[in-house]
Parts: sequence; structure tokens; C-alpha cells
Amino acid sequence: MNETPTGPDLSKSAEAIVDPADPPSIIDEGTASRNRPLWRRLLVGFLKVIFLTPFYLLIALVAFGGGVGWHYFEASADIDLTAVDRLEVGALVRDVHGREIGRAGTMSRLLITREDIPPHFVDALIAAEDQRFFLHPGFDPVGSVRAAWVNYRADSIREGASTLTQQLARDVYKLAGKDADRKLSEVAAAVRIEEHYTKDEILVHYLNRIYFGSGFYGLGSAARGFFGKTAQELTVDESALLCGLIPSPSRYSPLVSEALALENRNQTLRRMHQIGKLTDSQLASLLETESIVAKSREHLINRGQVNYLLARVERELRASLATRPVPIKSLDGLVVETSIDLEMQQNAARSIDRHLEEVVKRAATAGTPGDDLEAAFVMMENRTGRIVVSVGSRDFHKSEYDRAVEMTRPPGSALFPFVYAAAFETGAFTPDTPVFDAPFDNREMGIGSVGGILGEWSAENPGNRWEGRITAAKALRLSKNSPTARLGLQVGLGPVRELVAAAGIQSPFEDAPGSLLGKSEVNLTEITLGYTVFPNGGTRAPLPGMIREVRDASGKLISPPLELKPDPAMSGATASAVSACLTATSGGVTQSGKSGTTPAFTDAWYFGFDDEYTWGTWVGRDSFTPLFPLAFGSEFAKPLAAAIVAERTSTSPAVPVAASEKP
Amino acid sequence: MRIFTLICSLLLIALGAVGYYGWGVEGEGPRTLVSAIPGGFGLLMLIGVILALPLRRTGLQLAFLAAVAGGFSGLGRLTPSYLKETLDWQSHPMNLIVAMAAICLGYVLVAGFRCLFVRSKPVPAKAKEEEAPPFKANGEAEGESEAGNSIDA
Repeated sequence: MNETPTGPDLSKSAEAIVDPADPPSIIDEGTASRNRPLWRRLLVGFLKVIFLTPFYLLIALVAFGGGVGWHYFEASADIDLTAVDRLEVGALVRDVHGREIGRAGTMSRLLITREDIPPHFVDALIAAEDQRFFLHPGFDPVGSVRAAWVNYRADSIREGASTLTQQLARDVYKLAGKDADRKLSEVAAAVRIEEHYTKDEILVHYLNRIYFGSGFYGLGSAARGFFGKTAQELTVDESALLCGLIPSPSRYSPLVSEALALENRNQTLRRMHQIGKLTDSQLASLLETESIVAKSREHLINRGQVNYLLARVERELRASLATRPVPIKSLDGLVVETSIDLEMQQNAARSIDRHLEEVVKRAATAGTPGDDLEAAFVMMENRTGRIVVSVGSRDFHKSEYDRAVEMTRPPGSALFPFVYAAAFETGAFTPDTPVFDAPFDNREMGIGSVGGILGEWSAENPGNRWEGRITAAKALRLSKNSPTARLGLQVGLGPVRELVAAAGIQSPFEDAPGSLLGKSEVNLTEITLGYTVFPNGGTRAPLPGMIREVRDASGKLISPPLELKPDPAMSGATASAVSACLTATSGGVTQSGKSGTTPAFTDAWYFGFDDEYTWGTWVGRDSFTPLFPLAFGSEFAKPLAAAIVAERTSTSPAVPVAASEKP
Repeated sequence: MRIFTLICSLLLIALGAVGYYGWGVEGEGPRTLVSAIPGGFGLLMLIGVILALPLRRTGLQLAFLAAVAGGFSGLGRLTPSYLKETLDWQSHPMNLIVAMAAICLGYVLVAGFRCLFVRSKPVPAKAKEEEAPPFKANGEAEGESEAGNSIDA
């Protein structure tokens, strides 16, 4: 085939003899081009640059991307594909009476099989999450482009590009995060999963793992929790509602926001219609259907407490097992005996819900919104520190934030007993020592607004009056600010800090006079632990926990024995003296305790104790805004604590965990 | 240029064979087609060389594209490891990938250089008539590659 003429025929026009099947290329212009007119050579060169450079760049880019994919695909060769169908059986958790609470480490899943998934649920899931699920090999370039286009058009994130298999890979291999490395690892893992499992198997594993919000993991648990049904019994609208929750289950849960759940359900129904799974009339009818979340509020609160306890026990258990000489990673087969009284826990949660309803009404009359009011309650054994009740939020399905453990707030006047204890420990003060209740310049303490006279707003006394010379016992009982400030400054920050730390309060005690009046933040559980020193004769309980003992599958005890810490925080005499100051008899009922209020009325506290237990209560808002003016701990936290403790002797049966809900 | 292309393609095929048969044997990775990828690029280049016999520029274009793809895929394969600081220069797979990228990018550079910079000096038509070698059977003139801007040797 003649290509480039040389020799005598060079005078001929080059292009006239170039083989059309072998056009000049960027790498081989040949001599023919040399013989073209300059303008033509320039034009051809320019066109080559214009058209071929992007082509080569595209090839280079695609090749580079392929190389990156090669890296991740190779890296994914080591992943354990059997982990996909290996859901933990979890640890059996029992309460103090031996009643089964549930299983920790399984997220309370109710496992389903392929036969349990109704066809319309699959349609809804495909429509909502991954329309090409049955076509793609684990990742979906077409879906990704479509999602990018839809999101670009909408100028917001409307569609995700992750396939169901990618979501499964993310869950199994803990690939949360949005950086490119995680995303590419997820795609590679998804391809591996698709190689190893059928689409139906992937679907089942996905639905057994996925989170549907409000503490419900897996389709079985969500169907039971939201609708009181099995997965098989779900209707089309219920299926669409559940599938609509998947992108953001914590926000879209019908127990958090019915409006958002409904909006997402309808969006899923419209997508089902778009892909031909629903007719026009079916869509119109379903959009009018009300999806009823069947559970009563009491049931949801009780169920929420079970989920909360299981999550908390799992955290504590994993932390404990990790410290063993040979760490145990799987909870399968373990039996965990806890100190929790499930009945009392659920009663406490319901009491909090009822009490806050009352507070909301009070707040409304004071012109303050009350929809974000929260409360927490902790009760522990004096001797062992074991937790009997721990309620971290008003409704666990709405908020999983554990205010009993994770939240720190200033205790205000609830800290006073420790200041007086430090004073009594010096030997220079006794409950009968006179202290001076008179105006005190707040600039020395820096509480609330820096100026003003301390005592004008005496936290527990709205109609404060100066009492002059009173005993220390009376000042503590009446929660007087100015005598406590004077006493604390005399004793000094150091001794008070040491005593607070010895009592088990580990949050930092700020090096400022305001700390003497409870300005330094603490969490509810640790300050409740601190209060155990008073009924315990000066020795605090061990660090609080829920787990009494753990046995492995063979029945062998594997939890370490409880270590009682005898180091006293104060002398028995001091503990008795403070206890006496905090004990009063009213109407034939003797109560020991101390309320607490912060200056801006943001937090209301109450701590009480008897011979066996110590308990603490907090009422407030997450936003740090006031409950409302003059919302004192004695009025808002103390009655709540009293109501919960009064139910300690109740014999009403706890709402059991249904047998069908057990994994 | 075809000889150079042929050498590069054979080197890549050899790398692919070592990757496929060597890694698994040494226990450094499973014996999968992925480890034979360098050989794939080499095969494409070899096809280019063969194609260049009747269709010189088309064949070399194919070889050039294969080299671009091989070189940049090698870079893409190494980049994540480099960014994650997990490059292990002692491992055989890593050495083979580096070798693949080096061969392919070397070929791209040589070809690009020849295309852009190795241009023939203009030859007066009269002198050319006198010096012009006779046509060869495949239509290629002797010494053209040295004088022209083609990468074809």
C-alpha cells in the first residue's frame, strides 16, 4: 500500500495519493504533509491539536481512573466476604430480676428471609434507592450520572449515587465517610460482593442490616416497631414510607417528624409510578392513604428504653471486654446480668414524659416554648455504684443523646453540700458554726451577670431576705448563696476541689471562685455518684456501671469481680453532718436530698438518697436557654424524682419485650 | 519506530506473564487476570506493530494509544498508594507496575518527541530527485524515518 510518495513523484499533490484507510496522524505526518502549502499544514496542525489533544487527554484520564480502580480492586481482594452474612447473635442481657431485656450487639434486629419481603417492598426499595439494582455489577455509572444531573438541576442533593450493594458494603466494612478513598473502597467492595452473592441474597442482607431510624435496625424490627406488623404484612404505602426513611432515618422517622416521613413516602410512591410499578389510579389512591404508625406513646417509650439500655450495655460490655488480657471482640453467646430494673426504668421514662407535659404547660403560661424540654434521671446502689435506672432522654426514638452521661451542665446550688463538707473537714467549721447571710458583692464570684449583689437572687429563694447570722446547717438547708460564698472563700478552692474529685466527680473543677457556687460543669451520673458519699459514711461508690456479671457461652464467669474502693472522700462524721443538714421530715415522710438551680434558670436539679440508693434528676433544655423565670430545682426536678422513686415499690408489670421481637 | 514498538510490546507481555505466574507463586497475591494487565497493554502494542505492516500509521497510532493507556493506568495504580504512603518498593507487584508505567510512558515520550521535534530538513526538489532512493516493496523509502517527522522507523 503506497502511503508517502518520495522520489520523482513528489511534485504531485500529497493528499491525492494518501490511502484513505491510512490517514495522517499526529505521530506520523509523513513527507506528504511537508509538501503541502504552509497554510494547509498550519490548518491541519491546528485541527489536530483541537481535536486530537482532548482525545488523548481523555484516554489518559480514563486510563488513570482505571489505574486507580485497579488499585482499589486489588486492595479489596483481602476483604472477608463471609462477613456480609455474618450478623452477630449478640449477648443476652437480663435485668436485675432475671428478666430478658434483649440482645446487645445485634441492634435488636429481627432477621428476615427473602420470602418475608413482599414484592411491593422490593419495588419501593428499587424505586427509592437503586433503580438499576438488578442490572449493575455493584456500582452504577449510569445511575451516578443521572443522580449528578438531577442534583445539578435541583441545585441540591436529591438523589444519591450509592447502590444498595455499596450501602451494604459500607455497613459491613464500616466504610462511613465521604472522602474519595472510602468511596472507592466501597465501590471495590461492592463489586466483590456482587461476585460472591446473588442479587436476592444481597437484598436480604441489606434489609437485615439497614437502619430505619428510632432505634430500629433491619426491616423486621422496623416493621414491628413502626407498624406492629411482620415484614410480610406491610402494605404498599407502609413499604414506601419505610423506604423513604433510608436516606436520613434519624430525621425522617415518623416518630421524629410525621410531615417529613409523609413527604418522603409520597416521593417514593411517585418514583414507583415513574418506573411503572404503580398505575395512575393506584398512585392517586396511595397518596391519599394515611400510613398509621400503630404504637401508643407508652409502648414507644418503653420500647425506646429497651433500645437505650441495650445500646448502653453494649458500649459498657465492649469497653470491658477490650481491657481483658485477651480481648473478646464478638458478643455472641455471652450472658450479661445487669443491675437495671427494667420495670422501674420504663416507669421512670413514662414519669418523665408525663412530668414534662406539666412543665410545658407551666412554661406556656410563662410565655416560654416547651417543646424542647428534656429531662434525665439516674439511680444507683450506694454500696456498689451499680445503676438501677438511667434515663438519658425524654424519648429515645426522638433523641438518642444520653443526657445522663454525655451532657455536662453547671450544677448550681446542687454543689453546696460538697462545699460545706470541705469546710467541716477542716475542723474549723461545724453545722452549728454561725455564718453570715448578708449582701455580697458578686464581682468576687463572677456568677451570672458579673455585677450586682450576690444573694439578691438567692437561687432557692425567690423572695430572698437577709437572715443575718445563721448556722451553717441552716444556710445549707436553705441553699443560701452569700453565706456559702463566704464559707467557700474561707476554706479555699483547693480543699473543695480535692473533695469533689475524691467523691468521684471527674469533670474539671474550674479554678475560679464561681466554682464554689456550682459554676463548673458536671454530668448527672458523676454528681449522683458524688452524692453517694453522704449515705455511705464518706466513701463513694465504685465507678457506676450497669453490668453485674458476664458469662460466656459455656457458663464460665468472665467479668472481673467488683472492686470496692475504700478510699474515703471525707470522714464519717462529716458525711453524717452533711446528711443531717440535708434531711428533713415533712408529713411523716423523711427525705434526704438537695435541689439545685443555676442562676439563669437553665438547669433544675435534684439529688436524693436513702440507705440503699442515691438518685439524681436534671430538667432543662439542650439549647441552654432558661426553662422559664423562677424555675427552681425544688419545684421542677424534686417532684419528678419523688414520683419516680415512689414507683420503686410498684408491682405493675413491665412491658415485656415480645417474643417475636427477639432476634 | 516499529522495532522500538515491538521491543516495548514484548517487554510488557513479559511483565504480564511474570505478574500472572509470578505473584501467585510467590504468595504476594492471587493469580488473577488483573495481575496480567501489563501483558494486555503489550498485546495491544503488538497488534499495533502487526497492523503497522500494512497500515503503518494506523498501527502505530494504536500502539501509541495503548502506551498512553498503559502509562497512565500505571500512574493511576500507583497514585493512591503514594498518597496513602503505602508504596512498598520491595514488593514484586509494585516493581512490575512501575516497570510497566516506565516502559509505556517512555514509549509515549519517545513517540511524542519524534512527532514534535524530529522534523526533516527541507530538501530541494532537484537534489531530492537525485538523491531519492528507489521505492521499496512496501512503499517506504530508505532513510525516510531519519529525515522525516514520522515516528515510524
